[in-house]
Amino acid sequence: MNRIEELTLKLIDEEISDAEFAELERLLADDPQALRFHASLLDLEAALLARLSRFDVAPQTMAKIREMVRGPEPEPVRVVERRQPQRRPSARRFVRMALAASLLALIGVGVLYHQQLGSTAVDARVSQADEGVMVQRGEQALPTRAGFDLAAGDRLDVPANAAASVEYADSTRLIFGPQSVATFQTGRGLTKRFVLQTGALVAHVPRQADGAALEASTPHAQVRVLGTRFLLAATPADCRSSAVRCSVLRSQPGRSLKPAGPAMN
Amino acid sequence: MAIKNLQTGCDLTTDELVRLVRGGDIGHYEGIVSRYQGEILRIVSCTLYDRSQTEDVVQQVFVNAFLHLADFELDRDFGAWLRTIARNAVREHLRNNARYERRLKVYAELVSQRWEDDERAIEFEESVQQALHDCMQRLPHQAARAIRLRYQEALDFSTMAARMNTTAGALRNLLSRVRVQLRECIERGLARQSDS
Repeated sequence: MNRIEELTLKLIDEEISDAEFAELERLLADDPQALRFHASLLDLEAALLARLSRFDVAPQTMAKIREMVRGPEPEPVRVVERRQPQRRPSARRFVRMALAASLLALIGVGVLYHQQLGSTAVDARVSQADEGVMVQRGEQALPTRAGFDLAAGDRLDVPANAAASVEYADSTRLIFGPQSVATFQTGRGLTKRFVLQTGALVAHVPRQADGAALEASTPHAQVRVLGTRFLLAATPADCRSSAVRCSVLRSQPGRSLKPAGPAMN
Repeated sequence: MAIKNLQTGCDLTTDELVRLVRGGDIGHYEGIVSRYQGEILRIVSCTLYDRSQTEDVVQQVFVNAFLHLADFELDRDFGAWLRTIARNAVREHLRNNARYERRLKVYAELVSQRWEDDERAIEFEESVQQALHDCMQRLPHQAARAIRLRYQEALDFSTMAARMNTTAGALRNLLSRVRVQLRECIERGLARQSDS
């Protein structure tokens, strides 16, 4: 066994010291024959791992995909009963209740006033985000995790090998795949809107109430969804979607939204 | 692997499975995973990750492919499309793993060059697998057992040594010798294949 083989095997077995690794680098830089020995031992290692590490990832992969599409099952809620000592209503309690009611009324008026001015909330929040998922809000790049509330104009950036889910108040769920970029917008009335600039997503849209819809745009087309599960991809050249009960609102001349498969429901 | 339509009993092609999945019958994606996971494992194995990391990457490849399924053009080679996704996932993983990036830099560059030509890359991987299969047949019993315990059962040296009734040092030496022998045997096998 030559020195290159010895050092490469130590590298494979994770037993190489820093000094030995530096020596290996030097040997590889100087000698094409050394490089051949090194590469062929690593090829052998990869081939052995592929040949003998037999596993079946199908069940786990399917479980992951099903959870992405359907969303996690709700956790059971534990109800803890607390016995409160019975008290007789007092005058002070009535005053407190009246004050609370007034405060609630004030908040209600405030909310109505705010809605009239045009709210920036999009009623959606990030329900799951892998490491590296960011939200660009104005000039700020905000690291994102579950529970992050989205606002109009927020741009969700999903890096390679990551995924993120966004959930609206009506349980509409969007699962963004790797390298997806989407911007969330306020829609008219009860409409939810977002633009998928690039990447792909799986959407699970429950049947929408009267006047409500999900509007998804890509650079080339726009869909209005009234309730379905669908896949949507935005690529530089085209836009594809497989969906049901969705209508194309508009597309650029020469570009079209191609249904990628038959209806889902 | 033949995946049958439960209603008709006919074998389904990959394009048919893709159509069914796109149509909302997500369960049929399992057929795609089962059909292609061996091929994807061959690609991911070049990261030399341990078994659980390798499994994670293979799973991630299929999840990524599912999310981009609307991009796949029917009648094209699904395997080639999936291999591209797998290679991108591997590159990304290696980039994000600084330790591997440094230690396996030379090898990662070589593999990356090989992957530029999909057909030749597959041909090479298949040739190595064929040569390995032939060489493994010729290994003495003790050597074959050491390889099986290390790669099939993913045991560490001390557990392997205890199983084989030897010392960890002796086992390390045995395994090193066997791998060098296999490397030489594979090189000879590849040379024979290219001559013929």
